[in-house]
Amino acid sequence: MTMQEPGNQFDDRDEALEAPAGLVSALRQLPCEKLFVPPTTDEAILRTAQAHLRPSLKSSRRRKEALALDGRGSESREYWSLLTSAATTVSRIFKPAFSLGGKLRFAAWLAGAGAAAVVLLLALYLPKASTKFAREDLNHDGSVDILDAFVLAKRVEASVPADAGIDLNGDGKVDQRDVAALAAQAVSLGKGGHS
Amino acid sequence: MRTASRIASLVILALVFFGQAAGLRAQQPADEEGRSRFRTIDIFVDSRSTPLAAYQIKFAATNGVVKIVGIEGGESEAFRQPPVYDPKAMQQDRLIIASFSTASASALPKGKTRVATIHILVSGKTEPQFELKLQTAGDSRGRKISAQATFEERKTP
Amino acid sequence: MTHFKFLRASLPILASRNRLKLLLSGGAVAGLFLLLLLQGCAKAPCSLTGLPASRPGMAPSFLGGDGLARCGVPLPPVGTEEIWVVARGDRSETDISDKTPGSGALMAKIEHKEVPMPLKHTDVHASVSGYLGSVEVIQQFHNPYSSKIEAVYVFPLPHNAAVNEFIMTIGDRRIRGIIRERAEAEQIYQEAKRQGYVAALLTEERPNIFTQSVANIEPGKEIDVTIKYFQTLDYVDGWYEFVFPMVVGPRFNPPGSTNGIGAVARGQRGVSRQNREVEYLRPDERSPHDISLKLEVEAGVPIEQSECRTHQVISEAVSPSRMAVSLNPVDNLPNKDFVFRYRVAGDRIKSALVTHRDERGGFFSLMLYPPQEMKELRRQPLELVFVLDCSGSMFGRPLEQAKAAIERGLGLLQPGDSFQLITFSITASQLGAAPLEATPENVQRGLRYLRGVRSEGGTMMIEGIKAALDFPHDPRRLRFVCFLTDGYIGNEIEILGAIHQRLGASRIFSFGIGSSVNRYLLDHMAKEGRGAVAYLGLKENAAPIMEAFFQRISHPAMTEVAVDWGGWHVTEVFPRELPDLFVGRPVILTGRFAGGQDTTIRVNGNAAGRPLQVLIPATLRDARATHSALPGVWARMKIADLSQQLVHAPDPGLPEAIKKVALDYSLMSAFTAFVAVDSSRQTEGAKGTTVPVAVPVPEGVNYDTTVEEK
Repeated sequence: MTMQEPGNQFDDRDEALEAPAGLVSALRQLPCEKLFVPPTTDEAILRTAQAHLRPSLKSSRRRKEALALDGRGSESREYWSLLTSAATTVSRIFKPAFSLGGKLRFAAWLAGAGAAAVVLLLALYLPKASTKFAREDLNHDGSVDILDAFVLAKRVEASVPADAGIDLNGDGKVDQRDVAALAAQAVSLGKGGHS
Repeated sequence: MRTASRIASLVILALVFFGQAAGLRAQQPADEEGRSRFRTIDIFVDSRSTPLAAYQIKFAATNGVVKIVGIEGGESEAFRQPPVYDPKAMQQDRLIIASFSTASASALPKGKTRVATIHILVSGKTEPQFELKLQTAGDSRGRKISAQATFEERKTP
Repeated sequence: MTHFKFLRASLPILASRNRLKLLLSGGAVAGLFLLLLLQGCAKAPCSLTGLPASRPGMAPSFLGGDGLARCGVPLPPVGTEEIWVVARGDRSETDISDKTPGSGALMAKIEHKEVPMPLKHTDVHASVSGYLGSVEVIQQFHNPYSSKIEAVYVFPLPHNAAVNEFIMTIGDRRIRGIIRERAEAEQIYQEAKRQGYVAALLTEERPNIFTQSVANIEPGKEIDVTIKYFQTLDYVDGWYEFVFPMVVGPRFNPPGSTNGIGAVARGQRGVSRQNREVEYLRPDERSPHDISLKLEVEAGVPIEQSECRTHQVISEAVSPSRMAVSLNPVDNLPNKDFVFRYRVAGDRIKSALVTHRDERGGFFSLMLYPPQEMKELRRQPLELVFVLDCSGSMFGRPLEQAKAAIERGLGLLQPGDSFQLITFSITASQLGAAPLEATPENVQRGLRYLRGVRSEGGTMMIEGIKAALDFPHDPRRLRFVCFLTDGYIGNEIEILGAIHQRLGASRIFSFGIGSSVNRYLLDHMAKEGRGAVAYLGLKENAAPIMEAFFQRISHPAMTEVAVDWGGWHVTEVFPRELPDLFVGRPVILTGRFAGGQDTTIRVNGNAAGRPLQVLIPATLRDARATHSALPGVWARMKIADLSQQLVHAPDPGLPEAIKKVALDYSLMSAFTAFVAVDSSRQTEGAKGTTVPVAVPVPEGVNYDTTVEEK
């Protein structure tokens, strides 16, 4: 399974999605009142969201090392890109509704806020099963190479408890033999990668 | 007459000299006549200021008849052991070699370092072309780093 | 340089005004020019560089005034020695083929019977995990002579060893060797040798005999060669057995053969006329080559008992299931097999399955244990045929051990059994025209016959095979043929083929007698004969070995074994023909499988007329567990199977098939070889000499009756 690039689900330049010219013209003639959102308010909302999601600076370096060894560094990056992608999508959906008047505008605001909240909650608590990697791809970079063997070697040296999934030779323990097996796989002409 | 004899002696000397040269040419090492010759290709990785802990390189020889006859480790203690490779790749005389070291960053090489040497046998008169591609390189934390891989043919003394 | 002297001498003539002299000198110079063009680089080799205290052409004498016999080693004339010249062009006059090996023409300063040899030391590191062993062997070669040499060493490895790694070490530089087609590897090696590069080549002569060649070792320099292999361990009656063979026993080759393994005295290469030879040290000679060995065992279950009857060892129990064993330095002469056995909690061993899956597909290994109820069944009457090797190599202790084993066997016969005694060396002879009923009188007659057997002559095992299998089978009895031999023959293929053709309803049990037997032959005789193999060392008691054999055959085997693989699609299972299942002797099947679901494997067979079944659950919930050595184990068995097919039904496509499997799985075979070349430097010196590494005869083997001398 591959990740979609942010923003390419709705490409404004995609000709298949363009409305007929007559409809566009008619819509433009409708009365529209633009709602002014102060930039400071806008920025405040965004800053609060980012501060909530970004890891603290004090532990970021240690976390990055642990994430790198555990292969989860790329996962946090993917969550952030998922969140921004979702936020962009929501704003695009509800942007036209902000130009409506009265109760409809209020309803649109409410719906938009609700949708944003749902997206935020999903992004925070969605199970981490969106992307599957080969079990030998320990650093989750999408390929099985010598860096995965290196990661395993480091874990073996540090006696980090490793799950049985990387007991490559099935002898009940994770040791240098598994490192050797993974290194051999890394240089194999037909090596694995994404599952 | 005196001039003629001097010219004749010069001609004879020239004949002797070139005869020697011809004889020596018959004794030249086989490579100059297109026979098998052994060559040594050093592989370098330049990680600039970052200590290099792991690398993976694809090496291939084209445009000639090349047989890989040995794979040697590098100059640094961290990469002294011969790299791992896929033996099946030998059948096409291309290979992926890789190695890593779990030594501390201070014990790892920086800058341009010889990480491996490929010993080859070249047959025929066509000069082989070599291709090299760095597939990945990593630092002491296992993170991918930017590096450059090059190769040089070693001049045998 | 003579032509320059001539030129200098001729200059005054050239300068003279004498036209006749001018013409003559010009003609002479032109002739010289023509000679140079035609000469090339051919040069006669200079005389050999001898070591200090030696004179060219003189045989070395053994120093030491302790009354030991002096043996002179006559040196062949320089022209017939194997002297190879580093190429200077394409017209070397010493382009000597490897098929006509020369002799160790370099002389050695022999002091106190110690003969300098290019092999200094062998270091072995082995580790066993479960039933898989991985071993690293480091051979340290050096040049004790004053000029460049090529060292050639013929040595044994376990016949089921899957050699998969090869590294040449020069100083602190390590060069990994490449596996290639054998002919190609040999060609690369010869070219490197010719051009003066340090190179190493590993080839297989038999599944258990290999040749290591190292070229261009400069005087005083050392080159190490590391070989790595893995193997499966034998398991019998609760005991695992790790074997490391150390010396090739002297083989007998039928007259007229050239593809055997010759056994010749040191310095007498070529005497046997075989393509490959092993040189042996005389009884009063020794070489400085010694061996060190370390073994780590991780049994996975508690180790109840361990023993090493062949060597003095130092053992340490690291944990209930782990042991560390090392060879005592006082017992480091490499002249007998190292055999270490350990017993695990036998009741815990049950039929078990291990699997591995990768991009090539699925591999499995199934250890089949006979069902427990077989122990309650009684056997049929037996027709026991003892076939005793009484050739020259069995002289002394080996023959005594074999006789003791047969004597015990005769004592274990039961009423209703019958027996026959056959002896063979150059020819075969037997106790009677037909098997005798096992009455006390007949048993005594057999014992008298046995006591009169003497050892002499060559080993025409084919005669023993024919005598044992070519007479009509008694349908009332089960025929078991017991071969007692050291296996020192060079025509294994012929013997195994003869067994295959003649076996019929018989079963063959092979007993290897000696300190360094031909385990490849004996194991395959048992496999081909659908029986089992046992080994009896020179210091072991023969009676328990024979009692264990009788214990085994006292219960019927599970015959007509067939496996229902359930939901799996299984292919290429080895051994192809399922052997009989004997009590206490599991059978290991290795093969390929496809199918992702759990299944139940059903093993069906008959024992004493009763149907039996063994059920083995094959659960792939543990699909993530994988034994990465399994593909290599399977490939090794496939190579062995294809090699056997070469014996029974030679097919021109078989060598190619063997080669393909070997290359695909990076394994040594008869058709592939490892080669490593250091192309960075051409060594000094224009000449070198091939020096075979001479080895001691195995312990207990008589030199005079087994080694050829001029």
